[in-house]
Amino acid sequence: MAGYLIRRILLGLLTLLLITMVVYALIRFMPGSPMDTDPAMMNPDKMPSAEDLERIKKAYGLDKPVYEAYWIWLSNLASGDMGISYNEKKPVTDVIESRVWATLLLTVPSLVIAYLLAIPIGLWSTIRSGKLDERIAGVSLYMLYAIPSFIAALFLQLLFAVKLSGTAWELPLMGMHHSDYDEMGVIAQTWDLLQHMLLPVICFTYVSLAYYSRFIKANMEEVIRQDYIRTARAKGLGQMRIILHHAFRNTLIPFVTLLGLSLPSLLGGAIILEQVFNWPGMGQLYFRSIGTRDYPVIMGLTLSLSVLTLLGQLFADILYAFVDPRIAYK
Amino acid sequence: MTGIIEIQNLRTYFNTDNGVVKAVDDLSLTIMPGHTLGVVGESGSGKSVTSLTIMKLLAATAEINTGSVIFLGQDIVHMSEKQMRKLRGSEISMIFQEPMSSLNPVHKVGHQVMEAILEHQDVTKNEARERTIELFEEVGIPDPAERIHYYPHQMSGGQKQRVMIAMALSCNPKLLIADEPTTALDVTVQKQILDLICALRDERQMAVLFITHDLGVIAEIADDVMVMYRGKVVEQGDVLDIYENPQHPYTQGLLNCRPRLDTVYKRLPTVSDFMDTTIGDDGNMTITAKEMTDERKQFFINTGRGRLLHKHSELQALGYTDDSSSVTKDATCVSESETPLLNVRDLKVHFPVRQGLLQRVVGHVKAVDGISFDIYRGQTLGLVGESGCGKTTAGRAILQLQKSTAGEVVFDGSVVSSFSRRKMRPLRQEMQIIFQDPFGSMNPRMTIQAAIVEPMKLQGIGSSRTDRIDRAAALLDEVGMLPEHLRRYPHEFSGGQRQRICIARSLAVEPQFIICDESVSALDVSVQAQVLNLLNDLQERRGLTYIFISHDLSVVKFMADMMAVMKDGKIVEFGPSEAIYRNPREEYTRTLIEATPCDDLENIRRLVDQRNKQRSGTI
Amino acid sequence: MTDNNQQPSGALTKATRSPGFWVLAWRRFRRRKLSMLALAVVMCLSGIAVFSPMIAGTKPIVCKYKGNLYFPCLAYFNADWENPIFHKDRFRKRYPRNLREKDPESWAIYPLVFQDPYRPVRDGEWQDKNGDGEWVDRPGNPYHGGLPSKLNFFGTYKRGVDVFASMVHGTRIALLVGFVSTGIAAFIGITLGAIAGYMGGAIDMVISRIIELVMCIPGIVLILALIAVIDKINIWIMMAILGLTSWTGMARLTRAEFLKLKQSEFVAAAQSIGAGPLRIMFRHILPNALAPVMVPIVFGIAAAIKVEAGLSLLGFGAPPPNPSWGTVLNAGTSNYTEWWQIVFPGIAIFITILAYNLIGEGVQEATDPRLADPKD
Repeated sequence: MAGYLIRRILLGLLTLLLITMVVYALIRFMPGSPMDTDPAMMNPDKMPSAEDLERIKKAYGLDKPVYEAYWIWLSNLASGDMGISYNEKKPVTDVIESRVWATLLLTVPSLVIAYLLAIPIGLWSTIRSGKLDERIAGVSLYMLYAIPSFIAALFLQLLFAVKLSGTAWELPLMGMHHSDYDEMGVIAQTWDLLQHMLLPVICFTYVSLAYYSRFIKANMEEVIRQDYIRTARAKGLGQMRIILHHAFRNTLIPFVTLLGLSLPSLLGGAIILEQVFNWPGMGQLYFRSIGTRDYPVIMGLTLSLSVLTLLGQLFADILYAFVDPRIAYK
Repeated sequence: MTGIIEIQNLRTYFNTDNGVVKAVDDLSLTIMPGHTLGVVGESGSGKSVTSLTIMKLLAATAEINTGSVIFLGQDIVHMSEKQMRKLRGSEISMIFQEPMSSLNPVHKVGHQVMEAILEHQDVTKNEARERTIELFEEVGIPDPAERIHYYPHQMSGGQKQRVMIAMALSCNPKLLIADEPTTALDVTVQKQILDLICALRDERQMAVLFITHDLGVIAEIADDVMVMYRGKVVEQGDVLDIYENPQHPYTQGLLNCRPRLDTVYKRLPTVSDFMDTTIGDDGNMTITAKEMTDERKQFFINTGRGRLLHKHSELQALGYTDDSSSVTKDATCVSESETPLLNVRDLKVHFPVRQGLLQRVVGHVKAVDGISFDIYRGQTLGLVGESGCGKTTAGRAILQLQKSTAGEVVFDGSVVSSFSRRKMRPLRQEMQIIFQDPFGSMNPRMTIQAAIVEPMKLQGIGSSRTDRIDRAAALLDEVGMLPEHLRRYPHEFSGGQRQRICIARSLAVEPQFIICDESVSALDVSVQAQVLNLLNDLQERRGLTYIFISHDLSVVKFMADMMAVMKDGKIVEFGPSEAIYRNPREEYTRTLIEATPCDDLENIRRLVDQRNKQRSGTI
Repeated sequence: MTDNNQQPSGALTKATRSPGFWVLAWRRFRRRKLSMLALAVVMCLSGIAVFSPMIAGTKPIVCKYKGNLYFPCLAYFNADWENPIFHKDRFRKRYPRNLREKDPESWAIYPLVFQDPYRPVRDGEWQDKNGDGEWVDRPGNPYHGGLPSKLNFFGTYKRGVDVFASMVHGTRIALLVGFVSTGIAAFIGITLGAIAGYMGGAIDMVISRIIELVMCIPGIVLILALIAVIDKINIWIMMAILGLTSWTGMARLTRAEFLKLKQSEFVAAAQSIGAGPLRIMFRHILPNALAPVMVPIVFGIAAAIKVEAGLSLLGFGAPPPNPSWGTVLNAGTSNYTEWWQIVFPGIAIFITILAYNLIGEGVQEATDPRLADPKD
């Protein structure tokens, strides 16, 4: 098992290295790189100043040969230096750090909720497979899955912030805090935050929930056909024990891999959703940086989001080794 | 004395899209304690459905139409699922065909056995563990205290089947259902498992329902035999009666179409030589018997090619003197002046084993480890051995489908082992292969026509497209299929038909030499006989040379002139197949022969006597 | 059994060919009512996309002007396809009045709905017959707050542009993006997956790393990063970017299929008759690998439509003047009280994605190997 894990981590490091190359190449080789953007197309206020340009030139080594420049950039990166944002005139690492928590506040709860709900729903629909209630639930989940989260977000905003405004059901349209958040007590602050979080978290959760529960059901149906389930039945075990102990335990194997695979879309979805909800997270920062062509931040974020995904996949692969005993001996 | 289980007029039907399928149609049986009922039949005979009906583990589309199943006085048919669960695993246990997939891969084997004990008995976890260790010991798993912590993938097939048996025995069942428990195992392991089941049966006075397609296995283990054919019981009786004096033509056919080790036939009779089956419009089947006269029997004994052995001098060098090599009257030797068609010298195929971080090569699996032999034109060489002995790899390496590590393969004067893939291509016309799995060896997206025409096109045979199609039609005719089958897809055919098509595809390039790699292993015995006869006919008609690879010693012995017994990548014994069978020189060959189930009447009588003595002794 | 029904010779030419895999799959697909309904929806949307200039527009489908026949509506497909004569004669996109005034002999057939996806219709641009049979001027679109009405079915946005017309023309972008970008993705994914799976070894290692790399960068992040560095973006570049970032799933699947099928006996059988690697890849393995890859392709179309709508919502989608569903949504986010700018395109996007997903589901069931290749 140790061999498998170390090999997996080494491959992850290799991928990390490749990611840095891609990010660097994006800056360096693309037409329309910061050096030759048509100034006429851009808002003069947001134009990088001459000072900025000089700094970029230095940071990305645009005056040096590729390999040398990449190496310098990489070593800066290793020491935590991603350059300086020219919107906020602060180090990119600080800018990103100030946004990370807001994004995690939405993604982590939604991931946890999606997993916690998807498992019982998936198991329930396996047991009730083909019955009327399961089919209604199945079709509803299917419809949910087809609604893009940003459309659901807009619809929910319409409903709770516009249509129900003034009623007890009203929820804030966007943002993370009420305008007088700072004057509130701790409990009121928490309540305010929860109110603001509710709609975004729902939008983050439901697609994964629908997808995961369908995934579990499909895999359970595959597993239930296996010979060892017949063996378990021939032993005289009860249905619950067969479903949970024998079938679900095997379904966990592909389910764990799904965790790693679903992170990119979750983080990608954050960009649109945070913009729709005006949520001050990494996604919104990314969107704004593109609007203002704040290259150091764009690249810093691309890198951070990719590394987050990579870590998620690595985590999934490590879990996998624990879930599937066959891995340990390969 | 009443039986442990009594079944009366059982009918189990399946409701499918195409109507009702009568999987089991009017079956009655009784099994006494300590006795074994062997149920034998080919695929689709309903033998497995019978066992699943007793366990009530049928698929949702199946229903018990009529009949009663009484187990120790309890009516199983009308039992609730809850009551049934109490019986399953404790009173009635079951062992399945595939030990590989019948154990849950994510749980330790000990845990899986303990689970059954804890489900049915009021014991603590520790007691259950103790009991499991005892059971493992009883079924012959070495080092049981350690092995209970193993996962299924850490054990061999035979050991997994022992775990399955331990699980089945864990609650002292009154009835053990064994559904083809040894089919996936090697003969030597099969022998051990059969002995184990017999011993446990006698010791515990269990009733055993033993289901198999193999009449040899039935002869070794059963007291009574039931023969099933397409859902119906065609014959039922005492084991000796069935083998000595089979009444039903189907039983007669089955008993005769198997190439037994001591068979007298040169050409195998098939079931259709004993009976005709017609299915009426109402779906009912009528069987018309055909009498097997002595005259017809003589035809099967006398017609067919004789053995073609190696050169006299070579046989002598191998140590076979004249009389031992001419055990069959019409064996001839290759003339001294002939050169071999295929010459294999010290062929080795080693697979690297990679391990660790950098996947460094830490060792080699010596799949084929230095084998040498010659084959002369028109001969059949048998390669026999158990799974993992390297016989299939050897076959593929000879055809250059698998890169060899060392050694030389000379075919008709060309050193093909040194050929590049491209240079090898024209030679593919001369050397062909027929695979084991008739489902897997045909491209499901190609029509039969495309499959047979493709090799001709690649090898430049036939003048035009129409010419090739005509040739394909003629080939189908030659292998006993119809020209209009050309326009069909593989999935429309049965296993035996597909294998015939595969043979036609191999013949399309008019090869001299064909490797038959387990080509009949996946087929039912009656179909197997037809295909073996076809292969022999083609050999005579076209002067083909075969390497016949199989795990089944009796089939190899029936087909091959010369035989090579393989073990661990090496040839342990080489010689005329008759001589090897009659007088094996190596311990391993002897083990193989002894382990091959034998339905010789002498043997059955001996076994029956032995059982009777034991019973009178114990009671 | 087939052996028994011996037919007279000459049957070879008469014997009908058995239905192939795809024919059987189509038959199974047809039995699924929901998937067929979804297919009908997609067909219908394709019809709307193709005939969009004839459904909603302010340019005549066909007109006779100064003795010649013209098809000005084609300008909605490509601005260059509008005959220069209308430009020369200073029509300024106002056909009804100009035609009447500049050539009294002229006639024209107009689209079903006289509304333009690019600009608001002004007062008096079009005339309706009133109850007395007189021609009266139709009022122009409201400048803002244009609720759905008899004239603007789905309301208006952006200073009076008709939402319905924009959405009809937006169908074109939505479907085109789905097909083209998924086509690109499928081409890359299948090619790389096939090479990696078939060749194995070092090549497989390299391609697998590339796949892992692209998978690690969240799709929309990569898309936005590419958009950020490419300055002149158009709809085709956009589709290429979408395609370039969404092929990994298909590549992984194709690779797995090739790895599996490479080991199968029919491939060994093909080798044993002397088939070369290309023949084995294309003639033997690919047709068998295609069925499972079909499913992510169909789901990929839905995903591409979703991503394009999302990008348009952010303001990075199909660049103007292309009307797109997401662009209408984007307008909606600036003023939530104008709900019709969110509800109608939202429903259209939902229905389209649902339809593609249902088709994908149908394809999955229809090509399921357990059903598709029954063993007897």
